[in-house]
Amino acid sequence: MKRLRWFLIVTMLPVWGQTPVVAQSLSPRIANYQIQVELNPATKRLTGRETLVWRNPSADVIRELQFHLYLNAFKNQQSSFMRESGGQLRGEYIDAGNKEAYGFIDVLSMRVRNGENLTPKIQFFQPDDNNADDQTVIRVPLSKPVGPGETITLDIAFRAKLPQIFARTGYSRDFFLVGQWFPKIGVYEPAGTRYAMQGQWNTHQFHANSEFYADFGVYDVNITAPREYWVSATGQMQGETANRNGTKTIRFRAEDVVDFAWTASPHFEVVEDKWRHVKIELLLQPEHRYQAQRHLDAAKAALAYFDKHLGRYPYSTLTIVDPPLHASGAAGMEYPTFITAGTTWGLPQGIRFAEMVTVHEFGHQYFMQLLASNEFEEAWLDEGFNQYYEGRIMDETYGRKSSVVNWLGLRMGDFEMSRDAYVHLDNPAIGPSFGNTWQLPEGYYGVLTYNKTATWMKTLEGLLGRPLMDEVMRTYFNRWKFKHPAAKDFIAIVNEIVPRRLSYRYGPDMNWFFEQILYGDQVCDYELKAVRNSKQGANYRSTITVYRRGDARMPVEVQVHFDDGSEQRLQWDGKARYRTFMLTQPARADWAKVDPDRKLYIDTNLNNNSYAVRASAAPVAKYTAKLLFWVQNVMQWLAWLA
Amino acid sequence: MLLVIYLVSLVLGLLVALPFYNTLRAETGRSLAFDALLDGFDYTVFTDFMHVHGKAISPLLSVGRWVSVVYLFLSLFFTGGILMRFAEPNRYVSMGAFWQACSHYFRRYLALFALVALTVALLAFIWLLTGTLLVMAFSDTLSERELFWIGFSCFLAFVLMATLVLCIGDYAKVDMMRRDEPNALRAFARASLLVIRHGRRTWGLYWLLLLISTGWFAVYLAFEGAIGMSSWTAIVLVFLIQQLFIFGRIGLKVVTLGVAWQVFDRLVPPPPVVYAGPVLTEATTTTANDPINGEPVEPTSGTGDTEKTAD
Repeated sequence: MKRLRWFLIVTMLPVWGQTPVVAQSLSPRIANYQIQVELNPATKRLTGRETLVWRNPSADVIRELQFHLYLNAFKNQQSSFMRESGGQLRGEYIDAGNKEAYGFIDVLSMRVRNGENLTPKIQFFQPDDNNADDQTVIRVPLSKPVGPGETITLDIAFRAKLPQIFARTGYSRDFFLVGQWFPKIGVYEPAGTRYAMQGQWNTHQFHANSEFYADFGVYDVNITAPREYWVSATGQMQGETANRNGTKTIRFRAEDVVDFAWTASPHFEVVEDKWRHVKIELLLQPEHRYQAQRHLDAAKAALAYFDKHLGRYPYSTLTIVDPPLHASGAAGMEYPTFITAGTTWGLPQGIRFAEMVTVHEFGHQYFMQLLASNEFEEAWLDEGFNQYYEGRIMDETYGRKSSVVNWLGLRMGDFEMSRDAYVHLDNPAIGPSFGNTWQLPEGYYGVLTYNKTATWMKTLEGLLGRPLMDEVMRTYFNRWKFKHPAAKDFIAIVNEIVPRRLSYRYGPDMNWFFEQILYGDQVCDYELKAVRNSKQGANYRSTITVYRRGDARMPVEVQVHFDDGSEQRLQWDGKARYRTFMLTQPARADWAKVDPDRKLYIDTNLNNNSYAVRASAAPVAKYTAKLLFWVQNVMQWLAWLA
Repeated sequence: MLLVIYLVSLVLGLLVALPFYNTLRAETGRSLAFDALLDGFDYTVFTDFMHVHGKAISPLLSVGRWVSVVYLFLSLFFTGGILMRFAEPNRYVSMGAFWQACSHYFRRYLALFALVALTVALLAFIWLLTGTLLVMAFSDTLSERELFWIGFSCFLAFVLMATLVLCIGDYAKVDMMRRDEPNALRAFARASLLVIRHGRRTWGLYWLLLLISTGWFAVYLAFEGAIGMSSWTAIVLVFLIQQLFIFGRIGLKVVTLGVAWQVFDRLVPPPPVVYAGPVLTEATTTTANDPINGEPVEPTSGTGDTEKTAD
């Protein structure tokens, strides 16, 4: 169903301060933008004017402002982003020899409304790495400081050239995904915010392995594009004006969000649906139209799950963009109320990558947008938490052991996939999840941030139990939504709730867990080493030996099954290198398992968690027969050549 | 003969399977985790196992690859004996004669195999290149789906042409035996003309046999799916079905050569020379030159059918 938006001539012109879509302010609304931007599809350039109203949230006197110019990461090969990435991100490469592949943003002018011209005072600086060639951050000294609680209004003119898509944003042929495209003010952290001991700007350069950090605000954006282009964006569409020169101007307004992104293409197939109060707009490539229901079902499953287990999605729109295959670098990205998914024609029903990406990117509406953590410094807090919820939603919606792949006899669950990525690293002790993203061990950003975090969150859930885990997460959400939470804030909530609810089973706090798993690089592996039985009078003495093979120390249970069918559960604090349990029973121990409920999902080898006195050879025989059969088949296939 | 070939395939397979069984038994220890595999594939059990024990398993799988290559050459070796059976349909052929024929034609068929393999590789290269160039040329104008069909069409074209070459290869083998042709290239050229002229009776039958083989495979998969392998009884039952299936596949390959012989017999008038296959030990006198020992071969008499005369 294509909307012919350009037939509508909406008389309502953009007016700053118009009646908000959401009646009451949900967030502090510190950085508020009104932007007029025009896209030239031929030159891939944007021309924009931006009015920024920024409020000083601190008790400090602010004498300079800092801004991100993210698009300058693609200006040349010398930016920190390009140096770190080598011109490659998520398997996509920039066409280094093609100057049209690069992008940039220039601030043409910057003035305080009715005041100082700041343009000549703009300075590039590099707070992270002193790379003088990096131009992704600027600072602007103010002659007239901004006092505590005061606002400043700036009028900024800018022009930008979009890069050829290889890292989330840019163009590919006539498809445009426009993210991080305007001069965006950094976050001023008042004393007490996150780790700030005193008020400070937190404005990092754009790194290969980092995303973003921004304050909440209201965005009122007018986008001018050719009439034949379909344009969608963060927030709600307010109206559309047809211009005489063959273009149209569409106005979008988004409240209480941290960013604004948009897309334009003449080829979208648009499908609309609704989930409770949320209008879902799905922009598909024509050849993916038949997969619309897969995307919609996944989005609705995610909406319902988060609504039930974490909190309400407060916005009235959700836009899902399906980029074309030639723009796959734009796939799998999140912006407020606006996400990109990604699929291919012919993707089998049993391979649920489209669903997985949709669920994941929607999850960022909570972990990134509503809980606006610092993605430069604590990426695990959004990516890892979100990966954990992706696992929960996928596994509970599509099957625990088959949620991602259920095809031709192969099955893989989402949590299984996350765990596999981390525990089967060549060196799982390579580093912690915590840390500045650009300083994590090279090549391990994804696994430490996404997969390790999801796996230890699942472990935390195992230790706490699902109801208590949900209580922790709901408290975290309710307390920190529309704010900037940090690790310490999450841990404080865990320590506030868990000891009390579990009668101090794990001690006065859970710091021991986070020190090993979040801040530390300890590796967890418990092994049920042996079960021995010996006759002792009328009874049997069973000896069960458990090893701690890793350096992580976790409390574990040991389940012992006897040959008369009875069972016994034993507790171990898991601290010593090994523990031997001796039991005297009328029956012999048949088998034993350490961590029988798989609470310690972070255990790097679950196969060594059990020991049977009489283990069956049937599984081995089964796979030997299969191997023999397939080897013989390969022989026969080759024989057709002979 | 069929049983011998099957036993060879089984023994070679066991060279991989038995060490695999022992290694697996040793590596899995007494863990209960592997019981989950009885109900089907388990990603966690599999990946945990491979992470710890992958290095012990990889060499065994590598042996499987080498064993398959050995079997390929053994199949080449068997071809002479198999075809000789079709050349002597009404006569008992001892295993000694079978092996004699195998060894006699091995070098010729090896040369033919090299020619066929080279042609198939060349076709693969040509169609891969064609597909890549077409997809690149139309990537800006065609949709994902259309590009897929271009690629798939190229793949299909390769498969069709490769089966044509393999079919020609079978008829060239017959030609080499029937005409006592030592030159693989000449036999391949003659067989090419024959197959192209009589496509339906040659290539069509070849495809029919390929489809039967594919159908059997589908039947096997259905059986395996229905039975499962979740108990000792089911494992043994499926193992027997598997071996029956392999035996059937070997039989089908033999039938393919037999069909080629029969069709060739009908389409090509016998050559104006005395048939000069390997002399069976029971043969009495011969007049033509024996291709094995080079001695003059006399026409046989009596019940033996070791010669064919010209028209």
